[in-house]
Amino acid sequence: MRSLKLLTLIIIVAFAVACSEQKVKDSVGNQATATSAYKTDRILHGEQVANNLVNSLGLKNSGQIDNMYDRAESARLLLSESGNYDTITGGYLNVMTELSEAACEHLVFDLERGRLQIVDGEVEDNRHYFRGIWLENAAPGGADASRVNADYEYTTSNYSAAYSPKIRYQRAVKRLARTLWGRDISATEETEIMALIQTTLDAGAANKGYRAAIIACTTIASSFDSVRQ
Amino acid sequence: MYKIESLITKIIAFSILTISINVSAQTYQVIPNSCLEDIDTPLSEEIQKARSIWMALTGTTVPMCDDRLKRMEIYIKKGDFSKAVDVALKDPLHYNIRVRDMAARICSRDVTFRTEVNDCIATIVGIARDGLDVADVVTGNFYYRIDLDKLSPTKRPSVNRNSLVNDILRSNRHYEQINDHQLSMYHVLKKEDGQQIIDLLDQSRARPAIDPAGVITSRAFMEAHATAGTNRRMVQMSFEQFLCKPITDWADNTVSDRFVGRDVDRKPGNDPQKYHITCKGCHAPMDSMRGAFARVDFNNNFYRYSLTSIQDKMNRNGDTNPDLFFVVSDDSYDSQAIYGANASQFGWRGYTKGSGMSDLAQMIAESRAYNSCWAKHAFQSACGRAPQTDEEMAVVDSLGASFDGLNQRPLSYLYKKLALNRICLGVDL
Repeated sequence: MRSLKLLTLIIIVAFAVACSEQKVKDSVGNQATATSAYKTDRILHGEQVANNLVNSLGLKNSGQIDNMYDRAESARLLLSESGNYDTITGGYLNVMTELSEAACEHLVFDLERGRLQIVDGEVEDNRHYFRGIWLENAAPGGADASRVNADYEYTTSNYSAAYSPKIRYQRAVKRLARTLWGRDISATEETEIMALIQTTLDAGAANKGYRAAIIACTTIASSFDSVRQ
Repeated sequence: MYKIESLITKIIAFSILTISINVSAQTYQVIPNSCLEDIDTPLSEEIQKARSIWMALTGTTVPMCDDRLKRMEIYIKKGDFSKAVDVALKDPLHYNIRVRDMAARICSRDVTFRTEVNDCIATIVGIARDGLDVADVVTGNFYYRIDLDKLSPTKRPSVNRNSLVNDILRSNRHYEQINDHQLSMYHVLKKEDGQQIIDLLDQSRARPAIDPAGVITSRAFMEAHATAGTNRRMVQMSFEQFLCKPITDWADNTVSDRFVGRDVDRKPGNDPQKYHITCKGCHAPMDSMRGAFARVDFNNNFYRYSLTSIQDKMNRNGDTNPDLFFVVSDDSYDSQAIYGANASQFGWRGYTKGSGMSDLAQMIAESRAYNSCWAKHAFQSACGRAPQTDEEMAVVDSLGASFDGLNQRPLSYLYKKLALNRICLGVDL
């Protein structure tokens, strides 16, 4: 039930982000002309939705990726066949969200976790997106979790403003947006996604940092600009 | 001393590990790259142009920090757009995604890319990858298959459906492995000269194909269009896919109907006028070329070529018009789609009569329409839509004309021109 609520929330926010993107484009004359109508009416189709996620997030081929492809395959009738803009349906959005969520889990749980290590008692954080963020069960396996926790606890307040936990999430969101949308996130979009992250963290459920990361990633990956060709 | 030995061992072990990772990664359909986005530096206009070109040619995104995009950005900054396009054009993703999807539409019955990789798709992707002339698509006597030597040692045992008879000629199981194992066609395909067919005298064996005609005589194309029916679909779809002319565009009821099959009722609803007005227009030109496919059929899961006889479906329903004497007795044809408007729209330049599929395919490949059709396919593939507006049609026409003037016509020429075209890309370069 909770995951259903989460999924609904993600779809709503992804949709809201898509709408705000449009607003931004309309209000900025130059940008609207740079993206002509020819290009804006194309979306990713079929298996390319999965290929795109693998490519852009740099996911490694593995059993989990195979599962994602299997899901895309079994839902192929819901994914656009022609790639025309008007083939976006509720089913397409649902599948997009589902595949994005699978890709994001793989990114956060496997790839990003592998990039966070404790070497000689020092934290080495080489994560590409969630650098400096405590992601609970996505901590390095066998590492001294409490040590990482102390450095990365989102709610810890003894940080300089320039490197506050909020800033770290903002940077993660900015990176994801640039990777998946191929452009920089607008202030409106960032506010929407940060509000969603804040809600998740405030809810205080187990693995809240991890959940917030998945939600941020899925929201960006399943919004319109990431399927736009 | 011990330390040096240990170090050398570690280096060797690391090298082996790196090599095996690279080999293994190369066989995958999608080869992801991972890098760190530098969000403190704004995106340049050039890298956004690079991304548009990249998307048009590969159909997928990569991070903005990807070194391929960065290289393209550098070339664009220098004003060398051609080299920027080459980066994307030489990438395996271009072949594994863009060319594959275009080929899938050509090779499937429903003209869709929702289809498994098959021999027809693999052959078109192989021809594109190897930079062969597009005429080979319909005239070549070869096919492409998975080269087991290109697979990593760990992958090789699981790619085990490789029997010519059972997995290539009698089923699609060999090519299904490309999807099953997410193999990169760019890396694993190899060209095999000499098409093969099932020997009808001993169906457990293969024999060299008689009358090969590129992908027209591939198992997939035959399955799509020669299953049951009357083989008219083979003519119709060859024209639709390789000349981009649906039959409604070349129907002509002014030409002789002497080749129209006996199964076509000359008085539908007891009205001879109806035949002359609505039936003859399509049947007269189409049936005049149907003879080229007189010996072929697809049933029991494989493509059959009969050396000794004409397929029954060619002379079906003799009782519909018992007074007509035209019977298909060999695989000769005499095209009637060569007069009036058809002469100019197809631009025939060689023989328009002959025997068998290879002659017909030669006729198709030598026409002007064949080259402009590839321009149209490439437009749809790279620009993501069929050309519709006058402006878009003009792009395709001019591209088709310049393609037609080349001695060697690789598909990459079309993609390159389109990737640099403002109308295709929707971005001013």
